[in-house]
Amino acid sequence: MKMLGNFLRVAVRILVRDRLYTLLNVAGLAIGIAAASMLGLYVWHETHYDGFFSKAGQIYRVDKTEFVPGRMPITYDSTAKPLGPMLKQDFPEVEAMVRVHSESVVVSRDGNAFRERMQVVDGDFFRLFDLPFIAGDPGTALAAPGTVVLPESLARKYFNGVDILGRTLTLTNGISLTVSGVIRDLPTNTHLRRDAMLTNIGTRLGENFDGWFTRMDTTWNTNFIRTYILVKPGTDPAALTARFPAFLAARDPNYLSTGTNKPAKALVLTGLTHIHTDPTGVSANLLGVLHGLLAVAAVVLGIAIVNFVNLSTARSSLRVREVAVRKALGAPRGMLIGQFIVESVLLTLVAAVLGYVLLEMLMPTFVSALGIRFDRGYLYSPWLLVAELVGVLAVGGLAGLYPALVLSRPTASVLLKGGTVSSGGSAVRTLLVVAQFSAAILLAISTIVIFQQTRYVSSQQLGFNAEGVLLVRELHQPEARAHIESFRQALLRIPGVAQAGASFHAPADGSDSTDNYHVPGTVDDGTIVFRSEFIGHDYLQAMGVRLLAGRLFDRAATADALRDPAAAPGEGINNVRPTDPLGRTVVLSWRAAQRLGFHTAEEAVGRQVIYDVDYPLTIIGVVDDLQFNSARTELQPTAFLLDERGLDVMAVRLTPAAGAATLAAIDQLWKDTFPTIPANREFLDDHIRDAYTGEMRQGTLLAGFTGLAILIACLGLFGLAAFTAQRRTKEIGLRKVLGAGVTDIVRLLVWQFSKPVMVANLIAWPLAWLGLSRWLQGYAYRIALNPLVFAVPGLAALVIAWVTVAGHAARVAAAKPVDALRYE
Amino acid sequence: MLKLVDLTKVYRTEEVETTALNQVNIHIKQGEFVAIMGPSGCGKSSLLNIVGMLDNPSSGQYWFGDEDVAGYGERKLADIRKKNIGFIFQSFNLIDELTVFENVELALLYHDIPARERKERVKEALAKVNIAHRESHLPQQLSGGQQQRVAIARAVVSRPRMLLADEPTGNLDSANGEEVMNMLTELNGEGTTIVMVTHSMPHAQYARRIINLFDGQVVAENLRAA
Ligand SMILES: Nc1ncnc2c1ncn2[C@@H]1O[C@H](COP(=O)(O)OP(=O)(O)O)[C@@H](O)[C@H]1O
Ligand SMILES: [Mg+2]
Repeated sequence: MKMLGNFLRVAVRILVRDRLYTLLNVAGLAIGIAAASMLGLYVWHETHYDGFFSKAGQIYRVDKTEFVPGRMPITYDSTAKPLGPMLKQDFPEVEAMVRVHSESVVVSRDGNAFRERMQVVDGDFFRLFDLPFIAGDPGTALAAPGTVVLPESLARKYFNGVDILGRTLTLTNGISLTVSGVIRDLPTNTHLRRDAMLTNIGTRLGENFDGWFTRMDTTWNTNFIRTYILVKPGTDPAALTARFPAFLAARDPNYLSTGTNKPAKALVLTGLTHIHTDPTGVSANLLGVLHGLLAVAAVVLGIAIVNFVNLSTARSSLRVREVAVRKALGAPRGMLIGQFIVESVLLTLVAAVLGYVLLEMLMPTFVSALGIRFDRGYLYSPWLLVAELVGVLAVGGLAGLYPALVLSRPTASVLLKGGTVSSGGSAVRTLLVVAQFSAAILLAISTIVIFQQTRYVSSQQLGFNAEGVLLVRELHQPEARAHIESFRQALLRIPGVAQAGASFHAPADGSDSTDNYHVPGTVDDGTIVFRSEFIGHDYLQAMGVRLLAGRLFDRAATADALRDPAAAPGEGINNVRPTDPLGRTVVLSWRAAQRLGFHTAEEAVGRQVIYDVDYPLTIIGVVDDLQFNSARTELQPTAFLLDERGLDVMAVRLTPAAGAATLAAIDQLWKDTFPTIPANREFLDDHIRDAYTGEMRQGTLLAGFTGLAILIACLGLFGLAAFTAQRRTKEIGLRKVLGAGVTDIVRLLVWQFSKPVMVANLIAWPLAWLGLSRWLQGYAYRIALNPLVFAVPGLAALVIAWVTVAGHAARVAAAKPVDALRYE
Repeated sequence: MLKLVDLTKVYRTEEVETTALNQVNIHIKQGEFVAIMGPSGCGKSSLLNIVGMLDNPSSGQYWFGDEDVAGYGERKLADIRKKNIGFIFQSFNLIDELTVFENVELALLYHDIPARERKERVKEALAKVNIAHRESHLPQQLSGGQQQRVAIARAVVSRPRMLLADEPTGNLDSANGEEVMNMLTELNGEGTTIVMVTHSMPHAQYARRIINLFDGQVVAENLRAA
């Protein structure tokens, strides 16, 4: 203990003496620790969703993979309503089953209408998802229809408290629900909807919903509900999945097995804890991003640790003489090793504490910049502390052990020799600097390319003019459906509104409905699949699409809408199904026309195409290709079909002169026309941009951490330059005595540090090229890799290295040579 | 060749002020061989450093030729130094990582001499000190005497008019010491001015003039009969 005290005293004295070195070393490591912890915590948070449910290991979501000829299979989390009960019935290993459907309801408070989410779920919901109750009994709360369970925040919003069992929640459509439970607000790390109310699957929520929802009980070809199962302990999910095709063949009347040329589907099980990171639908692959971030964290921390070790070993090599004297005076080797390790661990510990403080200070900014939800509780996780402590001992020990072993080896004869002058600079150190800069340059290049690609993608040719289009949604609400046309007419009377037209979906909504098409007289082998966009009159006009040939839908042309949208299916025209469009005409995108074998747009106009096996349509127009999805996907051939029975979103084109008054008038019109429906509007270009926020954030995040990596690497270089300048003092003095000028010396030192950075470029370039080419493969529309993008960060690194080193070099070079030669 | 007038050197550190040289007046003529003697700490090295333009005096004049260089900055001094002065140190000061040849060549690198001529002159200098056969060795592979011969080669390869040697034999045994002294005498015979600091009376006898320093002041000058 007395020894340790002595070690510490000497260590503190040395650290204070070499202030610059201490500062650089601690700052670099602290920044590295803070940055890596931030990323690490975030990744940990994202990969540990839903783990807190006590039966998490036995819960699976049943997902459905769709195989459509001519494109990649896509997995969706939506399933048919009868699937869950059938699974439970047919598979003894399924202990319980819960279906979750999210319906929007309107609740009013103090005269204002609020749209809320109502999760319609099976009675076993809390058996799977054991959320903590504040009031009520989890076993019975959702057992019967007509009750509702509220999260704490909604209970307070509508009842000003949580002691509300038995109270009544009334929806604006007159439905009343009895409160049967209050749960704590859900934590951030669950894929379940937060801020949603829960009710039994049999609850009646209004005429419109009830009729449809009951019909769905026996419908296998509408997929909309999420199905979760709780399996018996020890059940092998793979074995269970293997039995699904036979199950579907027996139960689902529309079932088509995979392996044919027709659209097919298969059921897959997604473990509860993997739901958050497993991609479904067309969403970007979160797991890929997380792995990327983890790699960035490792690189930043790696650079910081390398720095630390590099600087520590460099500094300690200046202490050969001290060590020799101690040895000559009889210090045992163990004690010398101890001294170095104590110093190093002490320094690491200071850095870790500082890093933790930085983390505390910066985490909120980081979290809000990312737009993610995050519980601060993770900051105090014992695991983080344990990880940091282990890291401190490992890094500190390593950085201390190396010099300890090397320096304590030579005998005291070092003292008596000293006849020559060393120019210093070990190969290992140079290698480490090369590694650091390779990593930093790699990051920098990646950042630039990701930014470029994101900008390219969001400014990509859409095929329509997204600017100045306001989307007004919720027209499919029962109260609104009958008034769409009169609402449209009223909109057109508002000054600043140029055009308006409604559609089922807006671009970038993630809608993905496809059908088979073929030219009459050819064989329909199911290989021509177009995206079907169901739209109203004036929608294409309002969107500003480019017409290549023919015409768009026209109210005056009777063939466009042979049937009255209000009429029952089949009336007014022969041979139709409820899902068929209203008329017998279609507008195709240019790609769709090409796919059907037409060589020009004009050639297609007036020709026939068969929709969905047997429904003939006349092509009245061809428009330029449109991008309805994100640029990750290729432009889809699209058919526009007139159908006014499911219009939900009104595209309102504003004149350039339209301003706040126009928007206010639109809002007022909405309030007057549909007082019970909360307004829901946004600009189309914002909406499209939202689809790229993921990429934007990745770019920003990368840029930030690249900056950090370069900063830390430069701190290290600065320290090494200082060290080298000191270590080479004598040699430099000698060179000056022999006639070297200031410029000669500066050149000498700067060159010494340029070489590793140049080698780092040669290593980083091919790696960056390989990695980024692969990343860009994920985009249908992508930029070409520009050599300049590689050269600029490389050059920048070189310049930064020069600036970092030049200061030291100049100072040393300008010193009087006698100072260098004095101690012999 | 050079003249020191009332030359004073004071070192100031945080606590102490040391007067290393106190009103020193010395005149050294072209072609002289001067030895400087005195007890440790009397200011010999300080004097040599100033004469060698490695350091500035605190006050006084230093006439080198017809210029007073006492107040010159490092750039100007470096220029004069490069053209006129060579150095030999007690601890040789060879660079570990460079071979014998490269160590000697270093003294020509900053002189704008073409590579070919450089090579010839290095070989010539190495031959002169009898170490040519070791030109590709590293300093650590040589004995102390051999290292000092390399250092002498390095000092003379640029053909300085004046050679300054601070205890050149201090780290050598007597046989090697003799050899070094013989070389210096030979160089002096060829016209090089030599100023040497030494502790050894026998070695001082090689010089034609001995200056004794004590506490930063010149206390005696002895001329040896030629
Ligand atoms: N850079 C310096 N700073 C402070 N004192 C110095 C410095 N260089 C030399 N001295 C002091 O000046 C005096 C003369 O030193 P020096 O010229 O090295 O003597 P010598 O070479 O005769 O042994 C000594 O007292 C020494 O401690
Ligand atoms: Mg001395």
